[in-house]
Amino acid sequence: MNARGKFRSFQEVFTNPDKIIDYSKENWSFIRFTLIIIIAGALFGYNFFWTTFILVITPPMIIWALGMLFLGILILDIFIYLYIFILWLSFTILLKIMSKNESPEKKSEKIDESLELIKKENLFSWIKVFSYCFLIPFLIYNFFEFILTVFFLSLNMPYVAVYIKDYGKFLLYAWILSLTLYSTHNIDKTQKYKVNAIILISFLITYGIVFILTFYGVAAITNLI
Amino acid sequence: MKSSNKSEGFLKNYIKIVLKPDETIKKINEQKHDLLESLIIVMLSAFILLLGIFIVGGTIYNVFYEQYSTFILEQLTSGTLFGFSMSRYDFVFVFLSAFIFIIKSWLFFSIMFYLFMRIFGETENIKDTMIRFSWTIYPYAWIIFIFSMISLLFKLILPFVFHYIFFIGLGVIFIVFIPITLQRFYDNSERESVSSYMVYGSYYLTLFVIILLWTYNHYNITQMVFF
Repeated sequence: MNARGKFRSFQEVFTNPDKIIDYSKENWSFIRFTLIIIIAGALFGYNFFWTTFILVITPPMIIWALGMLFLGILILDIFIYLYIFILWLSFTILLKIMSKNESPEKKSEKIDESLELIKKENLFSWIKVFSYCFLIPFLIYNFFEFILTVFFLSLNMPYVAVYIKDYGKFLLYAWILSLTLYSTHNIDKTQKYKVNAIILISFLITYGIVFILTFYGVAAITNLI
Repeated sequence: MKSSNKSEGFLKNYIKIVLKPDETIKKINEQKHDLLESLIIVMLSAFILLLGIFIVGGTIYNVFYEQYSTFILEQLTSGTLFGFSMSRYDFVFVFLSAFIFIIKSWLFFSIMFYLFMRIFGETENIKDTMIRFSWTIYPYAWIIFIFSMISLLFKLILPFVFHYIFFIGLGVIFIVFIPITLQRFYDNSERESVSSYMVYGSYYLTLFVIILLWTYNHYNITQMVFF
């Protein structure tokens, strides 16, 4: 039986990056993709909201808070799309540059093969891989963070939940980046490092946008409260 | 004659590893290296890096001084532990302690990376890791030196924000360029292939540990961690 794209145990999600890559190529459906974004965004929105505003929210504000929570989910879902879009856009631009620079005298066979590999698998396939390399860790991480946030909030220990949210996200970034960078390991070396640089720069651009927007957004909302 | 050729080759590699990494890494992998050479690379880089920071001065000098001198690992491994306090205006002392701090950072980076690689089940040699890290991270010092000279210009045009440009540049080097150079070392080495998932994972986890320790007594940084 072909075991490609099927997870035998939950541990494999962390230890076997090939499984996630195969899964993204073989089990793609737009409904599943959208569903993951909505669920992951909702979990992220919940964690973000309660660990960011919990220290300033008073009980009468709960209805207003719920409204803000849904607004937060909407905005954060847009951020997820933004990251995938920036990644896709940068990758497309890189491909265009690479195919323009192809001069028949200079190019080696290896580069040819690599370009062919990228073209053959086509852009949509790459975007499937990149987006799942981002979404699967994002969903799993936010699910566990959600459980921990609910647990610590119910114990009246919001500071622990805030601490986990503040520092835990760096673990998530490390996982997402190493997985996405690993997904390019089949490409020829000369192209691989360019693609990897594009992935990292796209990530930094998105993080920069999110950082600036949330910095001013949270400051504004906190002042309102 | 032989030694002068060797030192010329060493300097060439030191500069070219940033510009033409693949070619230089192949050359480096062909030669035999020892820890003394790595220590020289780190010391040379520390000197170049600090020279840039001392020349620019101003906010870059102050932020650098505040961040490194209050870093928990620096406090635990320096005279601060025994009550020695140093003014930021004792330039010679600051230079010397920052110089030693950079050498310590090399040891810390290598040991953390080595530990994570071992945890992930990769067979790794601590000596090789130290040599690889000295060639991966520290040659970027001369790029940072050029960056500080550019910051000197920004200091005149944008005096309130020029240090952001410098430190963001430093961050981009650590997040984007260094892991890719590190991966090039593994791809070009003769040993059996190491999964890039483990290499990138270990590197970013090392950065995670550093951020975790860094934010311990830096309230201004923890505000950034907020997001």
